[in-house]
Amino acid sequence: MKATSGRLVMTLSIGALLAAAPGCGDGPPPRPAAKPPPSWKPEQTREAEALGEHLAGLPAAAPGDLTVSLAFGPASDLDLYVTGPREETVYYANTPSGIGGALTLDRRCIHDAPRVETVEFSAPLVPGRYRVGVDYPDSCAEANGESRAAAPFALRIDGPDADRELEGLAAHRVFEPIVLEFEIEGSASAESQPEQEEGDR
Amino acid sequence: MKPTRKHLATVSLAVGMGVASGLSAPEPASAATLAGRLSSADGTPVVGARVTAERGAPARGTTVFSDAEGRFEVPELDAGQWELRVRRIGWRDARQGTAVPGPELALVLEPETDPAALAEQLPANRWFSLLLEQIDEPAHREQFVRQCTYCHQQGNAATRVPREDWQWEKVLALMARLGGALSPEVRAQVPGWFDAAYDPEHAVPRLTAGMGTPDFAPPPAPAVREAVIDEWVLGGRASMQHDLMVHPSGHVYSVDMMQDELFRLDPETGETQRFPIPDDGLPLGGVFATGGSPLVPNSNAHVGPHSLQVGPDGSVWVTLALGNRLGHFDPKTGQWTLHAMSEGFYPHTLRVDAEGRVWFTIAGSNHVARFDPASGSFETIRLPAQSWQQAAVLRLMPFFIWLSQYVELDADAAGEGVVNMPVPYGIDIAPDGDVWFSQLNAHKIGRIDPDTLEVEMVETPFTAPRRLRFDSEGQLWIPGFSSNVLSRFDPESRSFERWEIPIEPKGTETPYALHVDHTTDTVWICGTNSDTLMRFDPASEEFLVYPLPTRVTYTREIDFDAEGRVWTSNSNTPTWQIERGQPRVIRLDPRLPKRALAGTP
Repeated sequence: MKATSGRLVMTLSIGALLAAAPGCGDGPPPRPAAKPPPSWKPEQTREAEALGEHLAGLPAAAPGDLTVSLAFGPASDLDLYVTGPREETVYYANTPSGIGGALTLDRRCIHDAPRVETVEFSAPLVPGRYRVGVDYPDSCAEANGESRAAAPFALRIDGPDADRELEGLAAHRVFEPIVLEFEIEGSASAESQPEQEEGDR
Repeated sequence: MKPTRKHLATVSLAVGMGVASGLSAPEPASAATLAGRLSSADGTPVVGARVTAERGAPARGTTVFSDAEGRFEVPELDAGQWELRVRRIGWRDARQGTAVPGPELALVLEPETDPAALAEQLPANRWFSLLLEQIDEPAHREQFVRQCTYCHQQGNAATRVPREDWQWEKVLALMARLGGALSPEVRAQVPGWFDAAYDPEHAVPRLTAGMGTPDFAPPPAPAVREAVIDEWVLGGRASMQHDLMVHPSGHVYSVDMMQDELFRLDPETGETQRFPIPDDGLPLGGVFATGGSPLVPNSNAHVGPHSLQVGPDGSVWVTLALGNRLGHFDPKTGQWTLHAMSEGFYPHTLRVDAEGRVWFTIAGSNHVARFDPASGSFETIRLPAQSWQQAAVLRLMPFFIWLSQYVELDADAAGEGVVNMPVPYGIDIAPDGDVWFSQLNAHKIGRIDPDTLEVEMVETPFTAPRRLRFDSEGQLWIPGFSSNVLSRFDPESRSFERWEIPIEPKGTETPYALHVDHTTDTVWICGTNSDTLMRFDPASEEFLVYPLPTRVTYTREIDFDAEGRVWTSNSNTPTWQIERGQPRVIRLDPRLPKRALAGTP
């Protein structure tokens, strides 16, 4: 591939920042903190509402279970991240987690829309704070040279004391680590639920 | 609720004075010994097993090795029940939940006869050797080792998960966004390497060939078996204790890069205190927020503390990598002062010179900076790039960062650029006051004249010089992260000597950092990919390899206390890959005889 000089310089520039940035928190490329979040367009609002309705029509979680579902449309490949109370994150590269949270399927551009990714935790749930993040690594329109517009999504939390729904807009190549957080209250038996050790999985 | 003046004062006090941790109320000092003997069913002693007594939440454990007779003594334990774990490669872990100091224990170990279970006992580097065998091109191997072991071990269980090609594509793209980027040529080959290396059908027989024979997993050397290793769980399951240091007071300070906290551990009492670092108004992710690269999903970092050192006045300096700031902590008052940098991106490793000036590498923008606490001013020194194009890119970086508000920069396409950017890394002050640093990806070290600020570069005859340190005689010791070497550089003659890191199989270690004990001038090296610490005696040119108690112990920094004990921290990221899922700070007391400490035969 022959890069234009402008493209080359930009690539190297971000490369310099990434080079300093091992993923252990050693830092992503800096962008101004003031960069505004994507703004809603009417068609995006309609799409997000439709995605929310789609999620609402899905079967409810089994009693005592917790499901976190992310729905997104045909133009994007979003990824769902759910961090449990023991601070381990379930996502496409780490499933199941030590406390049993599992991503049912990683939906990508090859799958039919609306695409739904779900992370499920079975009863008894480990009590504590759960964090939900959404990443937008790839646009399904990239191959066609189409724009990398922000992607509407809908999120549904279905579990004891934690029924929540929200709609959002994800910016291309931006990971939003905290779309929402919620608490699960638990029983003593759940609190003592053992966690698999490294190497046991 | 609108906060009143009283409420604000309370918040300020909580931040300033630290938060006492739940654990470790000081135990009554009634030191006792937990002792016993390990043997197989036929009475043969089990030599060199790691015997760990642990209790508490967060846990504190002490580990010793069994001797030639299979005997062990875990010293200086308080009364009460301890959880005992006995671990030796080739044997099943033995556990006793109610061990009590006093009567001698007799424990019979069972040999591990299941090859798959035995293979799981092996440290990451043993598995990693199978992957390295798959890489024919030396330059590709070097690049993979340097770029793919930045944050976590390669070869531990979490890195051996089978993946389909599309999954690899996503994982490698994510790793590139996190900074572990590869050239397109290497990236295309990675899935095939992993599939071939870690297929259990082939890997397990390779790794367990010779199981049951004495040579399969020989015990540590007798001198190593004298050591006592203490571990303290520090922080939570989303913590990352990146670096630590021993303060002249005897306290140990550690920075939690993911949770923006400074920890203070009193090893005498076990008491820990947490000192939250102010976010200075920065959002989650700091100056890198809203960028294309993901923050680690369980992170709560706004400023990202990275490296720390004590100043001549006993205060603590911390690079705040995500905040682009230098932090100053006063242990007497618990107060923080943050200094925003005038130039550069990503303050990294710091050292303090004899005049109290703070020198630190700035990894992202290829600088070294000097901060003068007296004037409160930064002096930033631009380092040489590897080409005029690279120099231009680095100079234009602020413009592109501004531009990125409006134009998307293609991070995923930046692999080649990442691999070659210089990345100033380790730094240390020579006894004569000169400042030396490394450029990780440029395979160079450099000298800065502290008076003129002139820069001189020296190519290293090995790849990836990382965290370097001077000995008391002014010799510079350097770990070759991707080249498996320990090197000594003589600034007078400009000559290098090299020793191969002794971890077997050779070439599977990634020595991230080292430090020199100035009382003996022995060199201690992080066995980052093998769960070990290594001691090198320059006089005898001999290594000792100390296996550490916890699987997946990824270490990045070393320090010493006044008694010559060696301190490090486990900062594997993600933390959940670590055995039992929590980071620990580690103290290794070698308990070597004086003559060995002095480096004489």
